Amino acid sequence: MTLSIKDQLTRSLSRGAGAVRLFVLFSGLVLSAHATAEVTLENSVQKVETFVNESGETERRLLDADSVVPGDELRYTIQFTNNGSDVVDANSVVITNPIPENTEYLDDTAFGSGTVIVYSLDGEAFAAPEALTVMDQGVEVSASAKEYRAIRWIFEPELKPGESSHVSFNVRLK
Amino acid sequence: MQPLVRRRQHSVALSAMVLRRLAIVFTSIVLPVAAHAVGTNAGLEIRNSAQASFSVGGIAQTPVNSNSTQTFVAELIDVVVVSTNAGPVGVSSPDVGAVLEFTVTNTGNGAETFQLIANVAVGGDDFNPALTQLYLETNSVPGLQIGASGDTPYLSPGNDPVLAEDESIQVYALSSIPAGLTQNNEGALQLRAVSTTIIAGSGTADPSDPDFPAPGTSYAGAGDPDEAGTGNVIAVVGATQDVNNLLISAEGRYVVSSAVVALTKTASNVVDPFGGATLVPGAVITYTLEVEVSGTGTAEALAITDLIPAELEYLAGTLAVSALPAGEEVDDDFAPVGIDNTGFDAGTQTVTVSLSDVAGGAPVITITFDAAIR
Repeated sequence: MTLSIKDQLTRSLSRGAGAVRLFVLFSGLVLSAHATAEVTLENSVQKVETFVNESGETERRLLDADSVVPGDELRYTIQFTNNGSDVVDANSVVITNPIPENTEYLDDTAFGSGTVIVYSLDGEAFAAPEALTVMDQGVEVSASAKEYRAIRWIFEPELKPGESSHVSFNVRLK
Repeated sequence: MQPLVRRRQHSVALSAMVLRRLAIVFTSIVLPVAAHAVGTNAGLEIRNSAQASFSVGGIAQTPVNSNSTQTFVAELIDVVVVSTNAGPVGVSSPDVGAVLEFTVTNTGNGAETFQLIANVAVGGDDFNPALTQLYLETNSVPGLQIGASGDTPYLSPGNDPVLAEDESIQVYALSSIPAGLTQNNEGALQLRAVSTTIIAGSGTADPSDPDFPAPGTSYAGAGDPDEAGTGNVIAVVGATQDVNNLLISAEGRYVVSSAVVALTKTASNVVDPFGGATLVPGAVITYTLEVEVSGTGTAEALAITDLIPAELEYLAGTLAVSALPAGEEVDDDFAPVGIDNTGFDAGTQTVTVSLSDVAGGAPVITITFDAAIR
């Protein structure tokens, strides 16, 4: 990896109260000449627990996934952030997450504000659920969510520097 | 009736008769929840990572990867015990060597050691069987065999069964039955399998103890080793331990049920050498034995023997039986030994008829033969 001009600037300007302001001022100039936008992904997992509250209603809550047994529901959340200084193009952020081994995707749980969500049965070809079909004894039928092997989110807005959003999906441990 | 005939009546014997309840063929057994383990093995690592592509100013940038989340699958402790007898097992009162069969299956997702506990003080029955010994099926021969090459006596904790996920073991409870019980009295015996992890973690193997853990209770580091070799995963108590729907124990039942064998012997058709019916030397008597089995049980290995007294001579070829089990023939050679045992044995002067198992309520079996007065 090459050390970018931005990095050098950040280091040289990181002392003193005016550093941030100066950085913003300079970075626009530098990056317009040298595109070094940085989108970072942070993936996390939680356990989704269904429980009955004091009023006898069924509720769901998120817990640490430190004790996961077969049958448990897990939620994976992928936080994406523009850590660079350029605006990331609209409709260009495409996040792909294969369904983890030994788990199955739970129908209709994929979420992502401002995203178009497509799915894949082989990890390569992605389409909307209604377009995913499998052959069952010579008849073409809709694929079940359990057969999805990957999910893809296409983020429609542009992602400005410093902006962040997230997508998520739930699986059940087989 | 002649004194001769009366005396002969006393010589009729039932040999090797074991009375057992007639198996109820159409009993439907409701098995609790399918006894198969849930999927992913304890200790496995579940990883997840995402990738993103994006562009800036219409120029595609180098795709980026997320961190990889790592989650170790905890060990779910679950075990299902089922009674594998077709129905209550028929016994006599008193009785010894009465056997109930159970299957213990590890339905969790890891290897687990289980302690087996038999309980005879179960409510809702008429008597308590006395447990003699639990046995583990270890000699690959179906059913309980006791002895040198037989099944293994269970002596906790020395040979607490260690079961892999999905693995089952057959367990036998050998009991004795008290005397003085009446027909159709039932006695239950409950077998429970408790994970030794739960016993170690909670200090109890008794589901009625308040300390017995509820499903979802976890014990850190008490599960199987993780696949990365960094330690042992958490052990989690599964739903089979739910005291409201306890699947870790099952009940088998003994029922007092005997078959009653009635024998009636008559002498008829006396034909003397002179065409009359006088009991003189040379007169031929036709004896008829009627065997009737009643009750709800089965007379097992029922054999009828009749000693011919010295005053009489069995007339060869006259023995006839109305219903013989398959493989039995009326002949005098007693061959093959131990199988075809119906006929007259000149050595012991005995008529033997092997009827095998006769169920209560079966049609009356008639045995006839002729003997001449010497």
